Amino acid sequence: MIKIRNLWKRFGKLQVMAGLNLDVSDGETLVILGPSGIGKSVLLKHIIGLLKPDEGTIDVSGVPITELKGVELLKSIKHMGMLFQGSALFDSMTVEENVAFYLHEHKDPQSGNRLSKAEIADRVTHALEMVGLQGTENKMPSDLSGGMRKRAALARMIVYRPSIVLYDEPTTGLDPIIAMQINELIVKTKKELKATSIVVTHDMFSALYVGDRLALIRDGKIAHIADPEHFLQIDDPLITFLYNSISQDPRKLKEKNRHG
Amino acid sequence: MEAQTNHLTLWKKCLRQMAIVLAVGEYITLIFNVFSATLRRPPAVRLIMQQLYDIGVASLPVVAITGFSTGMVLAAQSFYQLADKGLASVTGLMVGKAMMTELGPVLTAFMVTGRVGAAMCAELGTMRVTEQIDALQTMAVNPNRYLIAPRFIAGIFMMPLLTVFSIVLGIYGGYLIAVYYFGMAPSTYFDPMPTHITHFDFMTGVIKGFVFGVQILTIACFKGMRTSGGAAGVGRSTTSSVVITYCVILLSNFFLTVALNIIHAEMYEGDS
Repeated sequence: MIKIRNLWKRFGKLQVMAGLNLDVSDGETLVILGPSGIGKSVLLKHIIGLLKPDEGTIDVSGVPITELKGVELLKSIKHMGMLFQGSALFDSMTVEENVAFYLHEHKDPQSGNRLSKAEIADRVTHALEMVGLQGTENKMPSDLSGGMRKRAALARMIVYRPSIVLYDEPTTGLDPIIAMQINELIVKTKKELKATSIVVTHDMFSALYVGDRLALIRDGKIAHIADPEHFLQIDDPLITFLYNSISQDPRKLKEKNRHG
Repeated sequence: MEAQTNHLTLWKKCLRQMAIVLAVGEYITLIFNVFSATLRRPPAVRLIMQQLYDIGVASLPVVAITGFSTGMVLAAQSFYQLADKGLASVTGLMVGKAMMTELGPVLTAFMVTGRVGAAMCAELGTMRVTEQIDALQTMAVNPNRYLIAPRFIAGIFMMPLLTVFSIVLGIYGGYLIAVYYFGMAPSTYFDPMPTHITHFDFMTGVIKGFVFGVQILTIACFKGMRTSGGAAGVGRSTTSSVVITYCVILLSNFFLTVALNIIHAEMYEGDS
């Protein structure tokens, strides 16, 4: 359970968060929609402790993230993972080293044991297979395409099976086919890890494909939040615009995939 | 109206001064944080070894060329300036003293700033703007311990060694010129050294190497970690890191020279 209460954040003259409140239940996928530059990524960075709010609190599974710093903070985010918009792979390491990084640095969060080299290699292979990147182990991130980098970053995150996963614009800048693969991977990751997921995006197709609930952020607050059915019925020009900008409703496609 | 504009300009100037003070505060905080993170849990030996190689071993050629050519030019210039005054015999002493106390440490520090400091600042800056440092943190890894501490430790350990290496090559370079170009006897070049070059001269070089090492590494890491603004930002912080380091080295070199000599004089007095 993630509880955000009265979150305020200002960068210079720009008030990005203005008293934002939000609850995310365990195991759900919440999609936060809104145009670029409105503070969606800033919200994610607050949840994982990369940014400190000017005011307000964030509680993740009972831990007051906003109160912690240093070692305490690092300890309490070990079960969280974040997929960055630009992938943020370590460019001095191979794909395999990137994916294995967490397990080399920390004990396995589930078993509490340090994994052997063979166990880490198994986990890395499994994660790369899951994202369809087997055979790229020895490649450097610079040798990969944008879509492959994103999938490698996803593998780096799922390898340690976090219980809370944050996606920052996962499909932005990708062609529709790769974007669809990423959407499917988000759904698959949720099923496999049974994780609570927060996806920030301005891609309505992606939002409807992966989201259990959708939220619209405006003026530093959550303007609307509802399940997809009710969300689309809200009389808001931005929601109408975002929905009209997609050529087909992904929910029908999802139904079709499920039955076919 | 004009008065108001002046007032605003003055206000902006004050803010700029404040920003410098704040930056110095952040710089000291970074050093403190790295120090405490290292004490709590030292960085992996593998990471330190990698940095020892990158900073030390990989810098050997450029430091060798610097030391060697400086020694040669010092010998040549000393000989030209002193020979007609009958003082050619102090050439070796000039080279040895100058290399040990000033040119060895300062020029080595300059080369290491250009080769290591700039690269390090650009690397960390790129990691910062591409969110790799954020990614490290989201994976519960302290960037101060993982990225900065190994660089600090390796740099601070390697700079005195590189300085000594440059001093030795400088004296040897001077020797080659004095003996093989000006026809001086090897004993004339080397004989005055044991008498007139003291442990203090050598230690001056080593201490300066150490202090410059601290300055190069801390400024490069600090500027790298504070980078913002994409590729242009990386360029800006790398340039300012190098410029600031050069200025700090030159200024601190003066104060070190004076301070070390005062301390030496005190100790010498104490001895006698």
